Amino acid sequence: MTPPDEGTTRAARDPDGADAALARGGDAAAFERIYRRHAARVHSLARRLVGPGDADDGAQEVFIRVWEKLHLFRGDSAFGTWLHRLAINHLLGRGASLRTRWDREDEREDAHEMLAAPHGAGPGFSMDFENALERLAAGMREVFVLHDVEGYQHDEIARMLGIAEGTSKSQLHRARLILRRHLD
Amino acid sequence: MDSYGDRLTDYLDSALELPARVELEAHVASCAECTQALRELRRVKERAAHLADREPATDLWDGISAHLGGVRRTAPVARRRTFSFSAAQLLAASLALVALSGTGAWLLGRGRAAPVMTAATADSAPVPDASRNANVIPASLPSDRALGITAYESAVADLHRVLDAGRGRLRPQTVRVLEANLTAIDRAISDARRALRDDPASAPFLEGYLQQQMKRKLDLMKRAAAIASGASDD
Repeated sequence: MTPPDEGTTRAARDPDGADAALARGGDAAAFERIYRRHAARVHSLARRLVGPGDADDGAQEVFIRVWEKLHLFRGDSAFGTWLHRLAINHLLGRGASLRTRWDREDEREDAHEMLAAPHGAGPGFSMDFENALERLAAGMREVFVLHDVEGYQHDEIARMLGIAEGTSKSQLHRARLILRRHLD
Repeated sequence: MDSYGDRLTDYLDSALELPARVELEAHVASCAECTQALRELRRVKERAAHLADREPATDLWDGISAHLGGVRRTAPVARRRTFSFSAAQLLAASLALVALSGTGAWLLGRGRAAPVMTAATADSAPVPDASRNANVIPASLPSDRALGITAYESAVADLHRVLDAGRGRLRPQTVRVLEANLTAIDRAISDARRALRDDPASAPFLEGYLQQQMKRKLDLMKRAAAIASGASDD
C-alpha cells in the first residue's frame, strides 16, 4: 500500500491550514470552505461582543480581514486559533475608537440591569441567558465574554481592553450577578 | 452576604489566598444567601463556558466573496464599508421604528385594565401594514436616511410621552438611573452626529455607530415605558 504523501496527510490533519495555503494563492473556493467551518463561531462571537444588530456586519468584516491578512499567517499556531484571535481583536476594535468613557464607567448603574427583571413583574420579563448577555452594558459584556466564554485571564483582558485588572474583575462580578437572574 | 458577596467571584475563580478562602468557606457554610449566590454564580460560569455557537441567520458568504476579488493581500486597498445604510436596511429599520412608534401609541392609549405590556410582547409587536400606513416609506421624502431619522424621532417622542405619563409608577432610583443612562446615550448620539458633520469621510462607520446608539435608546425607553405604563418596578 502506498503511504499518503506528506501534503495529503497534513491537509487531513489540518484542513484549515491546507485551505489557508490555497486561499493565500487566491483560491476563493478554499476560503469559502474556511468560512463555512468558522462562520458559526465567528458570528456567535460577534453577536456577543458587538450585539445581534451588528453581528452580521462584524462577522463579515472579520472574514474580509482574514482574507486580507492571510499572508501574515505563519503556521505557528492552528489556523483556527489565529483566525479567532484576529476576530476578537477586530470586534473589540470595531467600537473602541468611538467608545467613550461613560460606556464603561458611567454605566456603573445600568438601567437595563434594573429594568430587565423587576421583582414581581412576572414571566413576561424573563429572557434567555444569551439574550440577557447581549443586553449587558458594553464594558461588562466584553469582560464577561472574554473571561467566562473565551477563557482569557484578567491580566490579558485588561491589556486587550485598556482597563485596570481590578476593573475587569469587578465588571465580571457584576455581569455574573445580573446573569444569574437569567439562568435557564 | 454584603461583606462577602464581592469575594464570591474571586473564590469561584480560585483567586483568593488561602486564609481568605478558608474564611469565606466558613462563612458560606453558615450563610444560606451566600450558598445560594455561590451556586448561581457557578452555574453562570458553567453556562457561559458551554454556550452553543449558532450559524448566522443569513448566509454571509455572498457579501464576503464580493470583497475578495479586488483585494491585493500584500497591500490591501480600501474596501467598501459593509455597515453603511442600504436601502433594504433602512426599509427594515423604518418598519421596526414605525412598529415601535405604534407600540408607544398603544401604550399611551390603553387603560389601566389593559394587559400589562411586557418586554417580550413589546419585542414582538406586529409591524403595521405598510400599504395602510401613510407614514411608511412616503415617496416624497428626500432620502431613505431622512426617513430613518424621522421615524426614530417619532418613536422616541411617543415613548417620552408614555414615560412622562407613567413616571409616578417608577421608583425614584429607577428614574434617576434611567435618566442618567438616557443622558449618556443622548451624549453619544450627539457626539456621533457632530463627528459625522466634521468628518464625512468616516460616514459609513459613524452611521453604524449612530444607528447602534439610537437602537440602544429605543430599547431602553421601550422597556421603561412598559413598566411605567402599568407594571410595577418594585
